Amino acid sequence: MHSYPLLILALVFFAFFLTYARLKRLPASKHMYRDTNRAHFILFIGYTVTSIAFAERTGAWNEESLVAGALGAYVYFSLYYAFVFPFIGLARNSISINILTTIRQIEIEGLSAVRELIHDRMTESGLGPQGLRESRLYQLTYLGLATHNEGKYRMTVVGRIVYRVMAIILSVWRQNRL
Amino acid sequence: MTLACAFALSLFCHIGICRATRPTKFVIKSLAVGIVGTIALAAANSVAGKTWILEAYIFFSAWILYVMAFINLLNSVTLTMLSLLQADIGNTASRARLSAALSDDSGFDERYEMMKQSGLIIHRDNTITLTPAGLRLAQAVSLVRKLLAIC
Repeated sequence: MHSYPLLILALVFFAFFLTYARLKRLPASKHMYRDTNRAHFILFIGYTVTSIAFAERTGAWNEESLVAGALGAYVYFSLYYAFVFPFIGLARNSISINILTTIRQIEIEGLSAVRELIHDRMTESGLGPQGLRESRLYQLTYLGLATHNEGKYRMTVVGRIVYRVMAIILSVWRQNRL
Repeated sequence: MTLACAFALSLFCHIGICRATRPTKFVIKSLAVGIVGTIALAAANSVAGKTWILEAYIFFSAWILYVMAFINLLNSVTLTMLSLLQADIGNTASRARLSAALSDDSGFDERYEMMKQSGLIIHRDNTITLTPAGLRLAQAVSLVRKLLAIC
């Protein structure tokens, strides 16, 4: 079986996903990652079922069709995780991007973009450093990297291992954290 | 050239370039290696008479995933908090100490400085204005936000 029909099917399902996410405004929801990931995965199940039905119908249910199906799955996931997912995160959570768009909005309103006004606008909409800091403090305990007790955070064994592994990776590439 | 070989070779070159140069402009260096790797793989497959589009796409998307993961690592506030915990006695720190990883002032000031260096904004006295490049980027982001209903 040739891989192109299943690749095209993957693209069609990805287009369905984008349309559904746009219509339901999933990237703007409070739990954007959970909601968009869930919709993406549900449509992946649709792609898998349709691929199996297609292979059955064409009588090409063999190793080659499995490879073609896997390639389609890779295309379906990579389009999302390599291109769409990072952009959604960047456009919503990046402080730099939000500074740029806030300045533009202030300029459109005919006001002068002074630092205090930019900071106030971003804090009001939860896009400033405060919102990001709170979510990262929560993540520390949620991911088991640290425990939180009476206002003190203590690093766990998992946190120590994660830190060392990341430090080794950064030293191999000779990069400094920003 | 197989896909795995091309990826391993590009990764090796990327590490070499990162180690041999200053730790700045990571994104530009990474994208350059990825694009060159993709073109080399496509050319090698094309010369060998093999289908090249799919392999080139797999290579490039995998490279983007790798670069994205690395950028997240470089920008990770969580990792900065972990390094503060690691440095403190008993690996324990107060909420205020960890909050220093991204204080309101440093959170904004570092980004203003980076954006100024990238030619996106002009920071004069207390007022900040967008440069033409900054305006184009802001317009592009606003357009894609609208298209994907992000905000």
